[in-house]
Amino acid sequence: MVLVNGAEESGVVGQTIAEFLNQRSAPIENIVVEQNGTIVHRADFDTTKISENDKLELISFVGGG
Amino acid sequence: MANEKDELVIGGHAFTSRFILGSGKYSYDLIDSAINNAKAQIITMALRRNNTGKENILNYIPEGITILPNTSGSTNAEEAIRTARIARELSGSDFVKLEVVPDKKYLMPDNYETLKATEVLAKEGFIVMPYMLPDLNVARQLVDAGAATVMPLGAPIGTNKGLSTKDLIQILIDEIDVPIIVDAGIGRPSQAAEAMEMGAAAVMANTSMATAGNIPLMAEAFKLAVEAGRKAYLAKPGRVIEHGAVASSPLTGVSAVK
Repeated sequence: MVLVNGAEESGVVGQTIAEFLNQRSAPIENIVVEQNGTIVHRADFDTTKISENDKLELISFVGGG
Repeated sequence: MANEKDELVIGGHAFTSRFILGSGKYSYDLIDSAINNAKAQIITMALRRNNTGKENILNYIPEGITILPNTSGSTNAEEAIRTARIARELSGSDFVKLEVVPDKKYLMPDNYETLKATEVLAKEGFIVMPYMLPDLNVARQLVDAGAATVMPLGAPIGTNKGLSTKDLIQILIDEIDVPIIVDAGIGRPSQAAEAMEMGAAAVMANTSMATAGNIPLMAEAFKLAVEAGRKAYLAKPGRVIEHGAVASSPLTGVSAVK
């Protein structure tokens, strides 16, 4: 089981971060990925894999003052 | 603070505009015209979980605009530091508007946690712009900790109440050597002009635009007000006579019937 933004998600273990984001049609230029509390740099999206029990946070810029 | 071109310099970066625009609580479609009408060079943004993957605010930001990420949502120093690091990863720049707000009712910033976060982030090379409750001693400590600006609140966030803390902000303007940027509470262009007349280095506003009937037009009104206030400050406003009056026309040579 993997937690993505606090919600359980299945079927993503083994994917790279790049594959995972691609599947969600996430705008890569506006996504920061934290894996178990550590920022995954964009250059490492292709080589970083999602493991069982990972906690992923996907964070973007939104409007704010 | 003011150089020959009267630029606003923050962390070594020079800006000709002294109006910082927020991007919250209004349609992304209006961001471009709001920025253009405001002639803003800095726009603030927040960071939140992306669950939809759909709309991307970055597509609405014109070229050359500096993104100022805020740490809104943070309730202590640790959370704010984490958010700032995420922001830097995303923006590629060191600017961060540090907001540490544990209070849910009045959205009062926690000056102590803000100071702790400033110490850490400034050491990591961030250009830290802390949002704070105006307090001279804390402002001095923030500067000692490496803050690039100090951003005192005029009134609680989102209230449009104006310069409720005017006298305390004036003390910061008079005593603190980094730019004092009035943030939060500014609801009308007249209030922005007043802050600038007082000597604020810049004004930041969001809700006053977002809740206006015509957002781009209000952005333009703020631009003009900030410019007017700045010019008035540079021109050194004239004195006030508390009692009586002083004629502004010659007292001699008045034509008389008799």
